[in-house]
Amino acid sequence: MLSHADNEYMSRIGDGTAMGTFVRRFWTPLMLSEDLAEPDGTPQEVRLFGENLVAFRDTEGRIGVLQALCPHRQAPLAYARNEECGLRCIYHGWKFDVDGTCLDMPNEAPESVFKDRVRADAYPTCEAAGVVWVYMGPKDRQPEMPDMEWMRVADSYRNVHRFHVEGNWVQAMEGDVDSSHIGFLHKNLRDLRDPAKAGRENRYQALDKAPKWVIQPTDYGMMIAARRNAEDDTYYWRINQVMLPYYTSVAAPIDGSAGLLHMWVPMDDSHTYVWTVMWRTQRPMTERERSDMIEGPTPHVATYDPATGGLRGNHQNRFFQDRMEMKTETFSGIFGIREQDAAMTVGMGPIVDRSKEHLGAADSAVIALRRILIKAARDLESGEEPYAPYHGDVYRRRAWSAVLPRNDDFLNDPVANQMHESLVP
Amino acid sequence: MTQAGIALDDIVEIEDFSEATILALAARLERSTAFQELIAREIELDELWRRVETGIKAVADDPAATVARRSLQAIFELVWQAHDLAGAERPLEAAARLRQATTLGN
Repeated sequence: MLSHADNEYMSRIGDGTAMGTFVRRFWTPLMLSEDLAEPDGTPQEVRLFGENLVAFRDTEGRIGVLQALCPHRQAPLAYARNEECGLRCIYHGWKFDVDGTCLDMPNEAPESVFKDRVRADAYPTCEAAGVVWVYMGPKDRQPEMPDMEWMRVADSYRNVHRFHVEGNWVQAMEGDVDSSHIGFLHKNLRDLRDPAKAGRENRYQALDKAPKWVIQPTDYGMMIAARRNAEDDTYYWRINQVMLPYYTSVAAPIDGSAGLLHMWVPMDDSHTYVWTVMWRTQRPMTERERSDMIEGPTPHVATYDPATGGLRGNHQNRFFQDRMEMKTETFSGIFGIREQDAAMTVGMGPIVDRSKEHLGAADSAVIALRRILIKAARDLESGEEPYAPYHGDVYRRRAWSAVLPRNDDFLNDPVANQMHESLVP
Repeated sequence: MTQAGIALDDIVEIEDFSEATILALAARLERSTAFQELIAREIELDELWRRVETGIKAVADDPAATVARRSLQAIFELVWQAHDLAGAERPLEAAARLRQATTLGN
């Protein structure tokens, strides 16, 4: 349960809101570099933090992110000519470079200095790990890039995907810290009926449904540890990481060979970009691994629509829920992991009313996430700058899982601290 | 560990909104300082709030229960405040709200 006031405070990210001010302190993933592959190519419209923007790659390969509408008559710059290091609005020919400087104003007299007084709103950008990043906070507070493991592996080692869904970013993000839903929403009936025959990790999860939770706030966000009984002399640990402001890293396989991270980036208060990053730590991903993300037997995203950047599944078509499959195959009857999650979080409405919730012990991490976010925004409001955006190295943490000899105090052991560290130098 | 052998980061089942239950929760709040301990208290307060809400509904249509209803609504409000104070890492103030609630009778 969260009061209406706290719920609004946490969820809304518009310009001037406390949470909006907080999330603007960080570099934000905007789009894939390949979406702006060609210099002087087609400008792309994008919505971020409630602002409509246009992104383009200029003649020299630089990325510009400008206000979506021309400062002149508010015509859409997405239609603009992209030429000679700038966007030229096709309405009256005004031209702006990647910094928002007005380079040309051909419908005014040549001697006019009007163009020197007009600028387009422009935001700093950079490219890293195949992603275009933008910074929308105060100019004198530009942060460091987060030094996450997936950003340090070679391009061939990772797969990055983005789509958008309805619903507020926090309720989408909460799903990744709500571990108990995994045993239901994402399960096959076969594993639920006969957990002893499931794989080792699934079996531990199925047989110990009430893990011991350890939740620790950290300088990057928080660590969520679930400790389950494994064999008589071992525990099965799953460590997830929440990294501010909207990154969730889900426990990797026991062998540490791969990683999974989500970025829940607010388009506005009621729409979210869901980024999924999968990577291998020791070898390139195979084509099969890449295609399985969307086309595999248990796809991460099953109904991605490249034409819209969203999902074909939605609340109106009930995410193609199949009642027959619910009887025979899966708990949800919905195909695709992200579709299963979206069916739940989109169906809650644009911003879920958390004052009507009834939370229990299994929701500890959800409550903790909310408290972390609210506290971070409140601290900034009271003048305390966040630590993480200015210390990119704190993002060198990884989620992990392991079966280890029983030690109730393992998380305080130096070995545990080493396991949090990135495997990629 | 508490006297009853329950760690402060464990979540205690809240089965009613009796004075004893509320006072025990207030006592745990007063000893809670760590992040996870406060999350545990918030969950207990959630459950307490739900129990009081159920109590209010039980007497909602009883014309003879006007006083009890008013008292329960006051307790409900105090538990809500305590919940938000625990979430804001102000456990001592939260505990004070609960102790105040026990003076209202239910």
